[in-house]
Amino acid sequence: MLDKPPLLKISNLQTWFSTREGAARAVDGISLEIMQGEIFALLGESGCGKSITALSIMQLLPEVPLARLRGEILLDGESLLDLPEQKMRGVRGGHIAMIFQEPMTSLNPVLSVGDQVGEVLRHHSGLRGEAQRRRVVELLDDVGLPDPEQKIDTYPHQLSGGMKQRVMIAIALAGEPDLLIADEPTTALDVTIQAQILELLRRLQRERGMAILLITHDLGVVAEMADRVAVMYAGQLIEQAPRRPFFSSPGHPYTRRLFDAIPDAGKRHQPLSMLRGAVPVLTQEFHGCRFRNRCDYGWELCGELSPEWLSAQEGQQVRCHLFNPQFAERGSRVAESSGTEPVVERGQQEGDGSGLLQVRGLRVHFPIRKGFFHRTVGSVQAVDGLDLSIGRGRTVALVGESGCGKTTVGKAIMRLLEATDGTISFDGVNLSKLQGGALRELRSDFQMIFQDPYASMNPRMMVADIIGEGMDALLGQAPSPEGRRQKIGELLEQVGLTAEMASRYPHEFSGGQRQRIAIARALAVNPRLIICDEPTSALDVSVQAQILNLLRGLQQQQNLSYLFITHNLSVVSWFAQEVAVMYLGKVVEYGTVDEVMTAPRHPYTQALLSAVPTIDRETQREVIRLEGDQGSPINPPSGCPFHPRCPQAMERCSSELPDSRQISETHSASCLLVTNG
Amino acid sequence: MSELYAWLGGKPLFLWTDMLIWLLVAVIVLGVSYTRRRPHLLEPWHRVAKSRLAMGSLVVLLVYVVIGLLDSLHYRPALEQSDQSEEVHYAVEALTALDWMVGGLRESGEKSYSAPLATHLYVREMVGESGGEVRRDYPRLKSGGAHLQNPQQRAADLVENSIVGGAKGLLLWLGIALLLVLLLTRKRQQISPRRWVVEVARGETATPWRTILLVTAVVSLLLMAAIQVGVKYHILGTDKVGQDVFYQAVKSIRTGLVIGTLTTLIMLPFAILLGIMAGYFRGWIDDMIQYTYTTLNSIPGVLLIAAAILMIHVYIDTNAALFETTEERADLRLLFLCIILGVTSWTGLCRLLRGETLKLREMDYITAAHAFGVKNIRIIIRHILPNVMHVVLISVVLDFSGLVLAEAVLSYVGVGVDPTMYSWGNMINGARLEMAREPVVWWTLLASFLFMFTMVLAANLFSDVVREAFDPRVHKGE
Ligand SMILES: Nc1ncnc2c1ncn2[C@@H]1O[C@H](COP(=O)(O)OP(=O)(O)OP(=O)(O)O)[C@@H](O)[C@H]1O
Ligand code: SF4
Ligand code: SF4
Ligand SMILES: [Mg+2]
Repeated sequence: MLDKPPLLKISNLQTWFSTREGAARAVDGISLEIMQGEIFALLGESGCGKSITALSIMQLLPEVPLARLRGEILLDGESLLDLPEQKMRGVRGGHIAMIFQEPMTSLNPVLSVGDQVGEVLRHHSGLRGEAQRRRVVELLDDVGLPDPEQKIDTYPHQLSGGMKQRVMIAIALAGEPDLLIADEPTTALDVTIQAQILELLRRLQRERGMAILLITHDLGVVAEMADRVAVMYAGQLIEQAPRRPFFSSPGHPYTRRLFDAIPDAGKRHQPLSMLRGAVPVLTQEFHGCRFRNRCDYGWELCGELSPEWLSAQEGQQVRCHLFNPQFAERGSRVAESSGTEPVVERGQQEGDGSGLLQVRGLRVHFPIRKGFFHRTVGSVQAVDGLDLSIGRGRTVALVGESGCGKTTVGKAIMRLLEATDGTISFDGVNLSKLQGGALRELRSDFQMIFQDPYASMNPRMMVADIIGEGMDALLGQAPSPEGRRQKIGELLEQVGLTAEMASRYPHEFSGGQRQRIAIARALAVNPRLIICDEPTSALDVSVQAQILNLLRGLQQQQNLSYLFITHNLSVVSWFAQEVAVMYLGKVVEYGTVDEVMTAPRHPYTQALLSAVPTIDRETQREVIRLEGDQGSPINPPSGCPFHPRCPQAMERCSSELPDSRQISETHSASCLLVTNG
Repeated sequence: MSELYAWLGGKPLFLWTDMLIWLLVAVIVLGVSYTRRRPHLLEPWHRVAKSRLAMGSLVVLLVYVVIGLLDSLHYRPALEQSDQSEEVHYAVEALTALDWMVGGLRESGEKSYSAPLATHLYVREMVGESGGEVRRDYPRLKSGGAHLQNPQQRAADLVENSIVGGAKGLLLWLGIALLLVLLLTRKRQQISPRRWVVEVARGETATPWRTILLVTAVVSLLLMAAIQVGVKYHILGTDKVGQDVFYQAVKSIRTGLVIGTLTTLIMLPFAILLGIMAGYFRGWIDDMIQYTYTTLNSIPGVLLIAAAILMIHVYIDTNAALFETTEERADLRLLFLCIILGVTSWTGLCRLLRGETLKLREMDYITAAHAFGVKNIRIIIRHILPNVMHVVLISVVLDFSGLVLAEAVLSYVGVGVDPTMYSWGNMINGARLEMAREPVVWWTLLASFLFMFTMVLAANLFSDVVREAFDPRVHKGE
């Protein structure tokens, strides 16, 4: 296979943007080869230049002044950088097609699905009229869109996220490309939908012999999909290897750190390994290794001499001095030390577990109003009868797909939304009855951390004022400006920042740092319960590890309780003690982490767990494929809300609403298959 | 007090619009000093300051603004005292600081039309010859070119005066440039004056000083030449009653600026308060506000304006005793025009702000503030208001030129400013008849057009850059 010429060959590609601070080396000397019909994964954290590499190949670079575009991109021996724009248009779609992360914004909202696929067909194969329509239906069928005959006339807003991504793929396939560039194709999707899309991509690659350049930050996805992997860091490739050696013996210190930073059940009792420092700014001229400031193994030489592309075993290539035979002795020492993180035994006192928060029968229905007089014509049943309890110093994870009502639960507990029904009692006080001043008095006891660190802070306020806001509102006026400043400084240091950052503005901070500020803001009022709404899902793995460690550390110091809302199941097994799995506004399974994660009883939980891409491919697991999407909370399915997708559904599932059945003292599930006991 | 006035030879007259204009100046000065200390607020202005287009048009706008401000300091000159009475009387016609500075222009009245730079009247009159004969001819002007012995020398004299004026302009410009060099290099000590001059000449500075200085040069040359020639000739001719058209056009600047700025100043509180309330509180408050502006929007604006102007007209006529000077009457009407224009134009901004607030109220930081039990009014002041200010700013600068043009149209239709007031609209309105004359009197129209066009163009260019600099969609990545 290797003697065949590569389909795409990039040599020493450099794409620099000119900015006010100087040339930003977004892509700085990348060389790689993609063979016919292989899946090549490009892995890296945000800002490392993955997307710019893809856009350089497509020649779709954003309209900013380029400081440099050099190197060579050969597609089937033809140099793309020298091609005039007019010819390039034929290459795009015809030879290389691309799909993007955000299916919502990459489709034209005013054209029907059929028109959008048809347009590409007409452009590349000149098909028109009936023949074109037939081909569109074929393509839509091929990407697994249910009833393509009908769907051809629908508009993007009528489709769910997963279906839109399928349409995007159909558009990409219309030109019969040899290479498909998929830039984070599943990042915006739920795990069960992600599993569907990944499987679709794999099937298409197999059937059509198409090569795929898969850009992702998710090691799990790489493990599921890739034939070969390249890791990018600060504009360069730092490691490249076939999948197997990559996962069995990652070479570069950065890659190893990345593996260690992924939370899972096995690391439960130790802090996650963290990368210190941050990605270097790309506007500097680099001397030596770009990873030097964060590397644990570096020595003087690394700061002086840029490491070469060095070969390790089994076709693995690494850009690190450790792999230079000259320094073999150092290298072997490191190899031994890998994986032996100092295991800090976690204090087993996980709070006394006595009840802090009790939620019973919580219902949140949003009325749908229409017309001139705003008549109520129905309701979104976002949360429909939910029970939950959180003990002191403990963490309960709330997992489920997008739109199942997780955030709504959090906001209802915070009393940011009016619950339609149900009781919420916090430390014996019934919150759902409290109003006005009485509620305000209790507010300091429970706080919230949000998903998007960019939207959760007023960009026009200084960090000190952001953190001080809650203190001022809830704890009364601080004794003195001096005392206030000191308190804010302490809080910042507590979350791993420095006191002098108080006088800066949010835009000067990275996502991870902002999330720390958000944590400091919540801590400022001495809460006992913090509701964390996907606090790490907008962050890179290495930063996620920092935030998770911080949250756990704070929990141990201050005996905090967390309601941890997430869709990331590997975080759950590392972080939580109990899990509630939600589906369409209801908790379908509840239990300790071990019970739910290792012996799930509800078919939905089973499917969810099986859909999560995992790194160790040795344990071959069967992905339980779920058809379709979660139903609509406006008119949820009768009977068991999961029955339209449930692989084990029976006759009576569509009529009978399963109640919660106790499996053990701590474990319960709402499924007719589960018998009490 | 009155002794002081008598000694000064005039008594200040506080017109409503004057006070509001100076209030606005104060607000802007405060705003600038507030912004200077906040880097994130300054950031978009830095982008504006880097644009050659914006800085060039800003220089032009500043000249207009300075003229307008000088013209907003009114006083009533003391009248010649009759020997006996102790009491000082003041003129019914108020003057401004600008009049005081360019007095020559105002006083040099003619009998009737005269063409730009002419030495003779545009119409024939009976002229008495020395021999006692009387014949119809074009008489010499009283002030335009009166210093010439022989009208034939006019061309040479004009050239000479323009050169002298130009030289003065050059000196003025050199003075400004020198001041700039001193100020800027003192602020940034690491750079020597010579080095800076070289950089400016090459156009290498971050702020486009070269453009600024070039535009300043053009403006100061024009300005000084106009003054030099203007005191001896009527640069843009005279109108029907022999008044200098150049002077009229200059005096109209204030009217244009007042309409363009005060109208927004008046409308802003409504638009901001109602827009934010509608978006933030939703529910019935939102419904009411929406219905209000939908209703207002469906009444033709001209109708409202005409009705309001008629009402104020009647009021002024029945209460003539209240107004000591003509300026006060005209000023009240101007103020009302601003108010009524403001009332008819707040809806656009209000709708924009409502939409923006709707988006903002779902932001997590607002939710976080709710979670801290922060009161609504505080949330609005601390979180919403600062984050919609860019919308307000963009709409204010974009509206400005539209309002200046609206004044012209309204005055043309007869429901604009007081007919005695200098304004481009009134000039155009007068030009309507002049264009029908034979031979055509074209200079009034040209003058008002030139002055208005320059200002509106400069304002539009400037506001485009401002809009781009403040539009969050354009600068997402930064
Ligand atoms: N204010 C509202 N008005 C009407 N419907 C709403 C409102 N807020 C949420 N919903 C609906 O309620 C349902 C649950 O929403 P929620 O935000 O709780 O989901 P989620 O589980 O947090 O999803 P995600 O994982 O995407 O954050 C969704 O169908 C959503 O569209
Ligand atoms: S070259 Fe040196 S600094 Fe860079 S990764 Fe290897 S050991 Fe670390
Ligand atoms: S009740 Fe029926 S449909 Fe629902 S999860 Fe159980 S088996 Fe599936
Ligand atoms: Mg959510």
